[in-house]
Amino acid sequence: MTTDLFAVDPIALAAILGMAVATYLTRAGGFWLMGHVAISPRLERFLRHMAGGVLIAIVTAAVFNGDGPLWIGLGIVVLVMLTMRKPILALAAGVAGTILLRLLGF
Amino acid sequence: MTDSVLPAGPEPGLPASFTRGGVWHGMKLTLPYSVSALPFGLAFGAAAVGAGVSPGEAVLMSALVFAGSAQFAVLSLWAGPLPVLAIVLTTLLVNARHVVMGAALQPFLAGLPQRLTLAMAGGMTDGGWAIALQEAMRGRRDIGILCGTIVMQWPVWVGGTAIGALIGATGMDPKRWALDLVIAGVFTTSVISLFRGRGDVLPWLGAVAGTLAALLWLPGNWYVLIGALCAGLVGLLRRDD
Repeated sequence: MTTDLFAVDPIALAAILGMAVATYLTRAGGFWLMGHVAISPRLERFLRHMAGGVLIAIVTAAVFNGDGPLWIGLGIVVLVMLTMRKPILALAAGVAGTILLRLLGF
Repeated sequence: MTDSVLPAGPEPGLPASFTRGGVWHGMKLTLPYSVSALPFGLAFGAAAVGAGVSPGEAVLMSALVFAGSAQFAVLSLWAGPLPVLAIVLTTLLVNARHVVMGAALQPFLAGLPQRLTLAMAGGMTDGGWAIALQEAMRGRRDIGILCGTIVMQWPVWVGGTAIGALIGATGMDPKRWALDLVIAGVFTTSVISLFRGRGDVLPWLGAVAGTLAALLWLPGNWYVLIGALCAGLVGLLRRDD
């Protein structure tokens, strides 16, 4: 990492531009496709489950690589989310739990 | 039972439009989303710097990509040498849902200049799409509403990222402040809100299995792509119900 706050690494710039193009293609793609081909329910299901799969993959990897305080924090997130359905509250509670456990030396 | 998110097309009649009133209406409807985008922007900025993204890069990413889930997702891949291909493919997978969302909205906005539609589509977030579609289904077929959602979310997301990144750059220990939990926590809340019933269980178990297999037996960061493809394929193979 560089000490210059506003430094932009050329490879990072390439990655960011690639992300921007990929995101634009998905956002404009549906509008564009509708004028040309029909989106079948099967394709729709594939795309929707794939999006969920990315989220699951990242959570799975975090649990796989994580430590006790992270697991407990994540457990708090799940509990608060299931009971109150408030993402920000759930996240804040989980982060607070993990910070507290790490402060206590776990 | 169907899990289609595509609504029936619009009633014939009124043509789609782009009005200043629509922009204003969209802005008002987006206010609650803007308020909640701020803490996520702050969290993204801090988590990005914790993952090794410079504050300048984090702000540039929020400004150009403007897609929270994808941006959080690539942070778990952000280690030098940067796996550019995996980062771009992961972005594509995370945002693949937008194809379906855009396709659902398009019939309501048919008749507008394609250039205008494709320009506004570039800023379509999940929240913005939901607002625009809901209003269109009520008969207000005005792409100005989508424009209003962008006006209300983009500055908050970019500004929140900048503040979060600067806080992160003060040299805080990412682990001590549980920034490693932020990414997983954001996605856990998304997964729970995305859950649409039993039909999702098998594809998601497929994602867990694929991810674990990739983590155990493959080098690098291919677990995101493999987990996502497993979920998509299991979802595809499932019997139509």
